[in-house]
Amino acid sequence: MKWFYRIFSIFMALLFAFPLVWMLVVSVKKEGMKITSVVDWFTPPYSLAVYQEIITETKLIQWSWNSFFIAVCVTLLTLMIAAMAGFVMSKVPFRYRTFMFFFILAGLLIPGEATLIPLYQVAKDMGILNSYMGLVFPVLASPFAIIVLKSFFDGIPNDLLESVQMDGGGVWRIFVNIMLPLTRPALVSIAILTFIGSWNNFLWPFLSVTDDNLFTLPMGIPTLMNQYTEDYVKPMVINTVASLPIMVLFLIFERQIIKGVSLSGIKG
Amino acid sequence: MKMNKLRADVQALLFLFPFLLVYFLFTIWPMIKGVEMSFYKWTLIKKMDYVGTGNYERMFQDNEFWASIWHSTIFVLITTPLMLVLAIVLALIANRNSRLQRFYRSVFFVPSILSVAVASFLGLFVFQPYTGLVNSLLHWIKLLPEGAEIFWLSETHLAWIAISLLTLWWTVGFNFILYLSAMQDIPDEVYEAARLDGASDSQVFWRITLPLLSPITKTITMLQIIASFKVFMQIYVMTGGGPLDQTRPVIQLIWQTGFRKNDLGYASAMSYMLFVILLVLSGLQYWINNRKEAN
Amino acid sequence: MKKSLGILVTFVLLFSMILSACGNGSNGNAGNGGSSTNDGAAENNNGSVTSEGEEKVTLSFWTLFSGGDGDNMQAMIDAFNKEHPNIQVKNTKLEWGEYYTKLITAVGNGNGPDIGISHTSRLPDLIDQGVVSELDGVADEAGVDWSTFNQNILAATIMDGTHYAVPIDTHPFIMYYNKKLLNEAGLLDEQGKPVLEQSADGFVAFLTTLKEKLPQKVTPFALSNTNDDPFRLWWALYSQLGGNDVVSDDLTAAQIDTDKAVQAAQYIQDLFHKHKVIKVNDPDFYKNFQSGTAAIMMTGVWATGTWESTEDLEFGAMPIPKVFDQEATWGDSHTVILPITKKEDPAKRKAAITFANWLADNGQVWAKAGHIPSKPSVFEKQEFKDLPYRSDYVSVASTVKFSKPSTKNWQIRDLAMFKFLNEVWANKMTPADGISKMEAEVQKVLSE
Repeated sequence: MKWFYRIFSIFMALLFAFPLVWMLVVSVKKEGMKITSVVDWFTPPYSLAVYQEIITETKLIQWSWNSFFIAVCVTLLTLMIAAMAGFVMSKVPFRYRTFMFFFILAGLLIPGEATLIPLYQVAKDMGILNSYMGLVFPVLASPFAIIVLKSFFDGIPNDLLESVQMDGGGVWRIFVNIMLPLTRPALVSIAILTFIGSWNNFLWPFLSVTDDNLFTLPMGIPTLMNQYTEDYVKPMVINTVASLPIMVLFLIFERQIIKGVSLSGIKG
Repeated sequence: MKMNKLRADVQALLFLFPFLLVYFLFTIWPMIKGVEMSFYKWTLIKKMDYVGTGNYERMFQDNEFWASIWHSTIFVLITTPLMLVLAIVLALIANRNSRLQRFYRSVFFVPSILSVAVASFLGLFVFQPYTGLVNSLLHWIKLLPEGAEIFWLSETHLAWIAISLLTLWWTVGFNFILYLSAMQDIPDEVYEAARLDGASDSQVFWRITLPLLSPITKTITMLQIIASFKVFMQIYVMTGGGPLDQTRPVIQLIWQTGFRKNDLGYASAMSYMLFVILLVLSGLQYWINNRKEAN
Repeated sequence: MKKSLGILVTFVLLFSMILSACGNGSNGNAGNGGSSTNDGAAENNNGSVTSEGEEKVTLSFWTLFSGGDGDNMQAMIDAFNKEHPNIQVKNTKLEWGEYYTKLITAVGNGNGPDIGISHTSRLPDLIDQGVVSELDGVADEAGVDWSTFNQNILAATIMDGTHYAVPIDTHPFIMYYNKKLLNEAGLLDEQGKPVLEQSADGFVAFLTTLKEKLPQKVTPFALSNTNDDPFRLWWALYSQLGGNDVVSDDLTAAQIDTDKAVQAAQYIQDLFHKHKVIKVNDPDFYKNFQSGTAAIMMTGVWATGTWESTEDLEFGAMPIPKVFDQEATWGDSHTVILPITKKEDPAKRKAAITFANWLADNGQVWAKAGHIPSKPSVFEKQEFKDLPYRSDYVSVASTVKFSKPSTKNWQIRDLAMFKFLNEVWANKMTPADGISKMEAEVQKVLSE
């Protein structure tokens, strides 16, 4: 029985790894070789020529950078905006707080996909189509992040704050010095989810951008694939080039990422 | 916090201002704008004629629209249960004491960080006939006789299988991690007590582990249903919605109507229907959770 | 207190840095011609004075060409820029699948290019949407002589007596064959032409002979199973039978010559499933011909350039065989259009039409990609005559059956015809069933 478990576990691991291994192996094959069996992929000749071609002749690196840059902008700004809002929602007793809470909560129910068509019109009226701004700003409002952070702030005892206030600290100082450090785990968790969400955002960039200097990976990759469907080597090089940087990042920050993801389930 | 009432209001407003600004401009305002658009014939270039409820009437009679809603539903119905089962199985694997524990955790999660485009195109090439990975492997182990091919992406049923398998592989990582951490939160004493009572492995799993996982299962189920309902890119890349539009999800239809057929008004009306459906699903989630808690 | 102030400052700084970083990024836009900031830059350019003392004009040009087409177009643009120091054309390559949507939206936003490409089949739609400007005035000014164009192609670019586009080519659907394989099967004559009886049975016999004589690995006929290429073949055969498009002359209703449509569809379905001369659902049909594992192949003339640059591929090109009553094939043509801009600039428009006319005049370069030039005079140029294969199919230009000028051409094709014909090719519908459903769908598209 124990052996069955072990073999099954290893089988599942191989199943999950295999498509990626295949992607890597095909990407270093020499182009134009006749593939008649699976074995052919895993035997030489290998070549890196296509890598050079893709990196120098397409804008894939630029698009990877765009994806990354936009995801970082979106993540940092979303965190800032949501942390500020979540903090006052939890700790500052202002008028209409209940109303505000429901107003924000209502936003949870509005799926981005449903407002996409009018959003396009709005962005067009504002003249921010085809710009980094147009890619970043429309996705910043995250009621989800506010609600999660608010519940984290709720968990911080008020007397802790009052003692700081006695010392004469302002609200901003309390927010930055006490609140933000205390909610770090939640911030990390939301940062990861936001980053991945932006990294994979396809529809909005797809609709709002025509300039190929501004493409992100999800919208840029299909334009390359359409030109190269005759051979697997180029598509796999494209896939690999687009994936390696994020994979390296993952391996470096694996512990934090896994922790952040597991935390997101508790409040989500 | 104690502070002057007025000061508190001003403080709150200042802190909320960045959020309210983007929230209003890019969520609330488009919602309102969408209502207007759905009552017009509206092209990519300009607002045309007022058509009243024409777009909505058309929608209720539009078989293509309801078919696409159904396709998104099929996708939800196939993937959600499989996602839960697979995530639990993987979590059980990675939760066992083994030297490979870390390796398992990484390997099950790593597909989740791929870009949706990479995952979709990988899916396309994996399931391609003649030269794709799956058929080549099946030929190699002689499960598929020479000269026979499985057309994964051209037959509706097979296409759903291929799309679902790809989606499971690509996205199960998140749910797997959630289950894994929930399992690790179960105290060892609970297991030890059960073992002392002479419970078998499977009894421990069904009687102890699974019930203790039920809160996280509820969360995952609802998140999964809503997320799956919005499926688009992997289907768009792998089958293009075909054959005969039989795998076309609702988001693809909305996009085609708005940006390919140049009919933003009608697309807005369909977006509203999608909004209502998601609203009902969310309401259902709220209701189910609250009822359970009341019990 | 001081410490917290410091943090506040840091926070604000960080915030504004990110904002400005994200904002500044939009300058990445410059050099493309899509954004308003860039329009400003272009106008600045416009105002600058070159050494000759004339104003220099910069034009943004959106194209949908990739592969060999893309390279040849870029080569033409470079040559033009060199010849015309006062005009600089900047090429933006868009993906063809998204090209028209992007063009329409950009023109709607006032971010459109100065020059664009349109297929003649898409032209009615673009005119209807107000994307394309009239050319008559500016063409006269630039001295364009409309009589030098192939009148058949030109006619498709004139609506109500007004010119809207400058055609630069015709690209019909033709047949390619692998000489080595045909020879192996004994189906190649001394001149290197296929031995093929031009009839319904003759073509089938030709293909079945290929199937019998050639190794099993070789596909007699490489053809996609879905969408464009099999549709084009159907259109060709339907037109050979005398079928006349699928819409009525007044463009308001679906009108299919059912018997002919079914006969053509049946013929192709049989090639797939009865005679089994086409590999079913083959995603690599293009590659198969290219790597010499397919005996014949049918697609648009643009493949000529690709085959030529393939080592060890000995191929020939010819018109689609006359399977039925009269010679006919599918085809379309690329035209140059001047999209409507926010602010009309006569100097730019004149430069743009000069460029368009130059492209047509220098069709011998464009013909390298395989296309048939739109000006007959180009056929007489030595440079064109030196190109192999092209003369084998130049005649096809006159047998192309263009679609009628409906504003819904592409919707009819993509949403109605592909959809049901694909089912016929997959053997999931009988031709009769497929065609009748297709007619209903065409009607639906037209009445929407």
